[in-house]
Amino acid sequence: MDNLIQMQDVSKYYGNTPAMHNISLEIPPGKIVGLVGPNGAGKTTMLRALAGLLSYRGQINVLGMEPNANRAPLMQRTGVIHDVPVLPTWMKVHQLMDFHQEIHPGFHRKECETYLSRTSIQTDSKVKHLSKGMKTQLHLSLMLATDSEILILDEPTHGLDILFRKQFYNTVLEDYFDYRKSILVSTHQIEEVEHILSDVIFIKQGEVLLYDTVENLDQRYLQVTVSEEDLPKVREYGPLSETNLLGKKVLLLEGVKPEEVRQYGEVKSPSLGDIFVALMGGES
Amino acid sequence: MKTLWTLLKREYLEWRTVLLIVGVLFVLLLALTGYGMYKFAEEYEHGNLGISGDHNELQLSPRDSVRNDSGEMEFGGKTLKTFITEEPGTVLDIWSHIIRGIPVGINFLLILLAVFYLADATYKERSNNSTYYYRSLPVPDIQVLSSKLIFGTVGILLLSMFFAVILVSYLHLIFPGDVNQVLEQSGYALSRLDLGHYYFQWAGFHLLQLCWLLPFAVYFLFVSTTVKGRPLLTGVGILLLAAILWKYLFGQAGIENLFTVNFGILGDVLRAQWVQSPSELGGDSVRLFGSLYQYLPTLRTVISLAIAAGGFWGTLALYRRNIEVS
Repeated sequence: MDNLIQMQDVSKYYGNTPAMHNISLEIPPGKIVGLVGPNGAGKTTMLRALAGLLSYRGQINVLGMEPNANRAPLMQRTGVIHDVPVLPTWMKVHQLMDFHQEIHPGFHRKECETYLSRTSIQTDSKVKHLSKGMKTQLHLSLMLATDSEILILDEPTHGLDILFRKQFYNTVLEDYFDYRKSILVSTHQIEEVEHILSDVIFIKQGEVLLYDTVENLDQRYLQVTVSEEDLPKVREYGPLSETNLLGKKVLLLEGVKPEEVRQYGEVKSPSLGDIFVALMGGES
Repeated sequence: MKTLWTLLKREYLEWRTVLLIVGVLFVLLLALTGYGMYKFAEEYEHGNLGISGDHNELQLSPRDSVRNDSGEMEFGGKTLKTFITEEPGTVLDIWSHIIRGIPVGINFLLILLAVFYLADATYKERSNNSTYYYRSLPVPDIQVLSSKLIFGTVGILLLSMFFAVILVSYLHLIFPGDVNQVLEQSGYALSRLDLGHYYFQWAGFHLLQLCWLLPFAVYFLFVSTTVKGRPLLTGVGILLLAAILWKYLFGQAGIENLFTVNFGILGDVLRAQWVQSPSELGGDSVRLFGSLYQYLPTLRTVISLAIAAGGFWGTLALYRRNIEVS
């Protein structure tokens, strides 16, 4: 099947600072891709470029269209939620639904009302009177009730409590995702989304450090906990990171089979967070 | 077209409180006019109605004369009694100022509203991030920007036209019949004003305003789209500097006149038709200064529209770049 998103040698600089540097990747349908990186890594720049909000060098193709020149038709098939509240604050919730309905041919008002009925949002409330979490819920309800093939989420739960964050991702997974669509989500809190991700992109200073399926990462990386005396032997495998744990050392290894190191200590699959921290060279 | 209409409706919904305030101010001004009219009629009833001694201002024809000693006036070939008092009455003067003042006030308010709206139009959305919401919808940028320009120009001018129609009709209604009769005898043109023609010409005036002031509207939209802060101050400040520079270099108040003429013109017309001139106007109905539509197919219109189109194109290109506010 054709890729929903294709990027080839895409670069974007702010002055001399690279926000994207020669990024090339492809995202097929049916994927939930996590875009993970520290602050200033270029996550938002990348997502905005995909949403047609930025100029750039290189080639981007989203749903067969160049996003910058075709933003309007692209947005007919793409949903976007940003890292800050963006809904017009002067509108009432029902006015916002009216507006969305008149503008977007793929919007299903009844569905949106059903999503909203699960929340405490009143339709005659003004957006400015809603809490940050409610604004995100409202925006998500609008997006879920709109037909789209790609959902771009730029740190959608930034600044919200853990209960809401879990609820948010569960809703996205249960009510939006199917194998014809793709979700691209950027986040700081990788632990919260790793259970729903199919793929992950690690980005640092505008460059993609890693792009792979979560399944492959399970086979590619392992973590072994060793005592001080076995440490030199395991170090020969060229660990990506070493951390202390209760008087022992935890080493992250790449491309090593579990049976090769099991004799030195306990072997387990690292979390995405562990791999991320290792690849970032200690940055989190 | 449906999308553009929806975007215009959105602008109306966002600004309707401000429009309501302008409407309330307008009604207050009408009420003040009604009160002025009441005082005018009251003075007339008591025989205190007077006319200022400044005959030049009244534009009396040579055959008209005023005899202060007898309290009579030869005016428009007729002798009228009650008009002249010992104390040259200020009522007519006041009335004249009110008639002139209301449209000046309303036009000033509306131009202020247009400038305020256009300077804030895209800046506000950039500063509160709602621009990202609108850009996540399948709406071309050109339609978003067009809706703002249309609302800030055509919308405001339609409102101005509406207020003008209401004002003229209202003045007709509240003008006491017997006073009107005396005025008509003395040659004043109120009862002979051709309202149909008046409104048609007034629409023409608004069309001219739209064409000739469009570059300024686009200028404020450009400022709104590009500055990182204080769009109103920046827009007005640069314009003031340009006006001063123009006056210094060319000795003419070019930019200044463009605006001041617009403030005063409706009031001047009303005053000229109702209070000052009229005996020489003649005919069964009074018509205003020829056809305003003759000014439309002129070089000035072409230049204004070309500047506005170029400016709009540039604004659109910068709008697409989504310059962030500081």
